[in-house]
Amino acid sequence: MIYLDDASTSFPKPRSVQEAMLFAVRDVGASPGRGGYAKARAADRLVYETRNLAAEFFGASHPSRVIFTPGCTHSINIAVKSLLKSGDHVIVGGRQHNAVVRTLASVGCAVSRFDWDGRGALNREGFARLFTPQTKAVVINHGGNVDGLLFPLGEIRDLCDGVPLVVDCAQTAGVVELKTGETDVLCAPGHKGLWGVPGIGVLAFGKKIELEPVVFGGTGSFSDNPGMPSPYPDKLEPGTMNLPGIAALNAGIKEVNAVGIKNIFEKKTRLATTAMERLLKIPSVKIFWPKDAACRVPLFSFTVGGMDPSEVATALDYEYDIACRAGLHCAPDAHKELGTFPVGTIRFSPGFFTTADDVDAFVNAIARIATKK
Amino acid sequence: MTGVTGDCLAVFETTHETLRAEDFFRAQQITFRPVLKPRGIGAACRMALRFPREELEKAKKAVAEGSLALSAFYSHEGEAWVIIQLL
Repeated sequence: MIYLDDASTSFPKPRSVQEAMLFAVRDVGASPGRGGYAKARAADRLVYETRNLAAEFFGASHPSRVIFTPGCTHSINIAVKSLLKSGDHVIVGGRQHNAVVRTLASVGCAVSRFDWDGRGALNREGFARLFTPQTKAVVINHGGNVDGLLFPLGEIRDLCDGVPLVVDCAQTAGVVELKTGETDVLCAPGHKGLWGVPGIGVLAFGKKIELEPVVFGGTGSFSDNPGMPSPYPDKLEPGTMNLPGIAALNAGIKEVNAVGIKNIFEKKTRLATTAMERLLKIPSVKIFWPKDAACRVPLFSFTVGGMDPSEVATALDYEYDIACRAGLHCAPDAHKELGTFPVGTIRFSPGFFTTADDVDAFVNAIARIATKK
Repeated sequence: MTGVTGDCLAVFETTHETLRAEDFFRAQQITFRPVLKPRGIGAACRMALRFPREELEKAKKAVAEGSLALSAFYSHEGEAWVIIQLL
């Protein structure tokens, strides 16, 4: 099977990640923060080391402000629901995913969109004009999961003027170098570019930011207090922690560090560029990927003539054993901006372990599917 | 206190801080053991670091060097654990 759905979940996982999970389940086993015996302390140590590792990886203000969550969506929920309340105003930028769209809708705040498609300079004055006294946050999708639009964080950060900048790094953590100070709140999944597994995410935030829990429960600390403890990370980590997921994240980040984000980005970009150049030779194929290479992450969408994207993905699966995701990719707003709503697109998202032969087989399959339609 | 010696305790705000403290205590070459917080000093569950009284100054230094979120130092006096007031 040729797997080209890294933007959903990276696959395959490095062997060290698999072994780390096995170690957590078989050799550690106990819950972190829930006992004083040796196995519980070993669990504590594993969480502690992973938190430090993640803090260093993301340039976090302090390890205690790195929270392990069930995923990037959960991280976004904590950030949005802490910083915004009904009646507040928020500015959003980038190709938004439902993780943000639906969370903002649940809060009931006024939303202003900042549009930029990767062509030309950012409209800095236009962005500045969106701010009102009620603006309590700016939420940016760093890398679009449909067309790979990469938003220029540094430039945006400078324009926020003290308003907290929340960044959805679902498609960029482990793929694009994130610089310290470019975000106030960073939300990342463990199972995509960090090569961990589903069920673990990261929430990292600066010292001026205060976040509130959206889920409540035991923390193994301050147990006589009916409220959540005030110190981080306990405040935002109720319930038994996902130790196997944390162990996998630990190994995944180490693998990413060993390979180097620059090398990962370059290899995936090379694969995506090759695929795009070859697909463009098929007359009925239309590609959705920013023209400027500096404004894109290594994934893109495409359509084949008048074919239903799900029909193309099904043919790839059943006839060629190739895994690609089709449809709206949980990002209807992105498709509206691209003009591909409501049918959607097929997405090409290679992983670091994708080969040139995989790309070759994929392009040949699309050529045959396009000819048969 | 089977297998555990020391008549001082350092209690930190979170498990994360306790583990950070372990690193700084080791750097100060303090002989310590992580133990469950004994009764009488607030709710149970959390861990504490138990160490000999003669190493208290080194423990204070570790806390300062690590900017550790210390809840309190305690001293075992008779049957009770008593907060050590820091100047």
